[in-house]
Amino acid sequence: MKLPGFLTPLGLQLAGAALLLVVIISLAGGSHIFSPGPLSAVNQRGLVLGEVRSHAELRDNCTACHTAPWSSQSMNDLCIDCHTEIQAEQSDPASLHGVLKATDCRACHTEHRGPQGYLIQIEQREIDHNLFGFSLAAHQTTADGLPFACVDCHTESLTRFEPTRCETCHRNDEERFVTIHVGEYGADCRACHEGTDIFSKDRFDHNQLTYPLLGKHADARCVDCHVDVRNLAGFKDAPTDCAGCHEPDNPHPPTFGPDCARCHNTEGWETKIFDHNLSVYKLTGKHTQVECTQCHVNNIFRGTPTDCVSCHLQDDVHLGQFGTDCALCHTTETWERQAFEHTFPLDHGGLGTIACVTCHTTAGNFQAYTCSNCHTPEDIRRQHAFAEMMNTNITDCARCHATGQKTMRMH
Amino acid sequence: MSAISVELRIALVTGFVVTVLYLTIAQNGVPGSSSLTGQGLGIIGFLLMLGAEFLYSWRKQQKGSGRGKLRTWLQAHIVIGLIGPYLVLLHSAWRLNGLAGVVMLLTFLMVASGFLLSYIYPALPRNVEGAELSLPEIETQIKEAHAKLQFWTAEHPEAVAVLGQRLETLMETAPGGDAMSVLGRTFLRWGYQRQLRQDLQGLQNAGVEQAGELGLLLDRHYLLETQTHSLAAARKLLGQARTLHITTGVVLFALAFVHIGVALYYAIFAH
Repeated sequence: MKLPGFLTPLGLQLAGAALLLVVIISLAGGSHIFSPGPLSAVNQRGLVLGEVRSHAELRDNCTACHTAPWSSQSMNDLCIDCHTEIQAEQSDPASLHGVLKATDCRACHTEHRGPQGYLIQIEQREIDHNLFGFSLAAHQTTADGLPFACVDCHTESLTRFEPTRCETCHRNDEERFVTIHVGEYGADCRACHEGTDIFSKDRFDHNQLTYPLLGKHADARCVDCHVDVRNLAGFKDAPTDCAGCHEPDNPHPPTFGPDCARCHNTEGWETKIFDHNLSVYKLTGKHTQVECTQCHVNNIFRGTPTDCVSCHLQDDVHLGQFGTDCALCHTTETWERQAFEHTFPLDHGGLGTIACVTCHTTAGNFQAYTCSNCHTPEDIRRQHAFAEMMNTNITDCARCHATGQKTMRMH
Repeated sequence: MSAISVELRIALVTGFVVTVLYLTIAQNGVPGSSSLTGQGLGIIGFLLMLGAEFLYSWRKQQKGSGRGKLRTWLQAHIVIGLIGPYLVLLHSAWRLNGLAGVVMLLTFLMVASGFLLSYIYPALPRNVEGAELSLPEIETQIKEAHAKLQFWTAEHPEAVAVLGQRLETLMETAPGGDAMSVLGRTFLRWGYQRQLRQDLQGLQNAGVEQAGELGLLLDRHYLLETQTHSLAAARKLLGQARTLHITTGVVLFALAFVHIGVALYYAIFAH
């Protein structure tokens, strides 16, 4: 077989010499000539693991990390042999390596990137931060419009996150807001914020919750209701009854009870929504113009009397002679307009003024009357017998003598 | 020279496209040698380099068998011989360590020797088909050029009168004989042409028409004379450069195979 023309004797000899040189160097312990680059000399935590302070000290010992093909150990096993704390983390679901269920060390940690080489070669988007309860959805670019780097948040270690880091960055953009916000809710931002920006003004709508903010409530500051809250659950613990927040503002005595909404709405304290006519005592006529306190003295509402004389006793010009039920004769429209119409002529059909007690003999009861004070039963029977009217009812005089005169109503 | 420009242009355009693609991918960081992109660049680049080496060598062995013009194969050799090493350079992720670094340096050396070859190559007189002329053929061409010059001067005595001794100087100027005259021939010819233009300008100022024809004849005469004088030196240099180019290639490929073997070993077996 004819060799290709470029395989000249000199070329083959030099190639052979070069290969021999490579073999000699590697056998002489210089296998690092196969290394793709120097190992890292970084030792951030100053630990001594596997009797070395950094990978760079393993320069001539490839087998410290690389296993032979026939070995039962893998490179990961050799990593764990030194980095024992990682092995502990892998079984801890609360740790970074435990959450990631990371078993292939080289997937994230690369070497041979030089003495100052960063051993963590992983992009933030390759880590599902949702696993840690914090989405990166709202952290794609910094305030400067640059893509976020891991160290922007994980300043000391990628395996840790200092809660105060949020405050440090956000304070640069919103100094005043952050100062107030941290003062009200604390510095552990992640206790409430999970990275999707659900509390932004564009997305968060309190009215979609079980307690919509209506009227004056819409102007209230969050901290007015959510006091001393330090986590998301704390927000849900905010009271939803009026007294929960407004008890200190309550000018009413305990007799009013805790349900402010019975009388007030969220438009303001001045707004009264109490409908007195829904109560057992409806306000009509002049009563609608009366100040509450005229009846509800000393703001006592329960047990307020509903009879007329309880309030109008001093107004009784009848000096009690007509009893206490003013409504028998009067309405709430006015005292002057009497509801009572004396159907029987007060002058008894032309007999002149007759005292009330002449007929109304029962004190305080003007519905009852009697004619027998003047017309004795004996006279009545006699006169009606004379007129052959004994078979009719002759006890209800006004039925036939409505005019007070002798004119008879024939049946 | 124009043929060289074509393959260089193709290589430059291809290199530009590759660079754009590479920069697009490298926006999130330089692709490492062992990454998918890095390995892809290395594999394609190495295969192109192998192809450049094997195919041109194979074609040169197929003399007169109708496999296409040798010049075309040389052009292809140059194009893929430039693109391949560029891809391998990108594969290196700009880190030249250990054996891989040596292989990369040998690659640079092979490419550089290739450029040297392509520069020396035209120093040897060739016919229109690219075949090297024999010494008798060169001498014949020189005689023809000399005869044309004699004929032209006989027809233009006014030009001879104006140029005087300068014409003899222009016809006799022909440096060469050593390696430096071959390597520096571009500069030397540029100097001769500059002098020639000045003399021809004098002719035109004196009212001699067809001064341009004389310029072409003198330049052709200069080129042939220079090539003849430098023939031995050019052949020797070409041989040395070819030896350097080919030998470097053989050593390079030997070490490259070791590098590939070691990389595969550590990537597949040793972890």
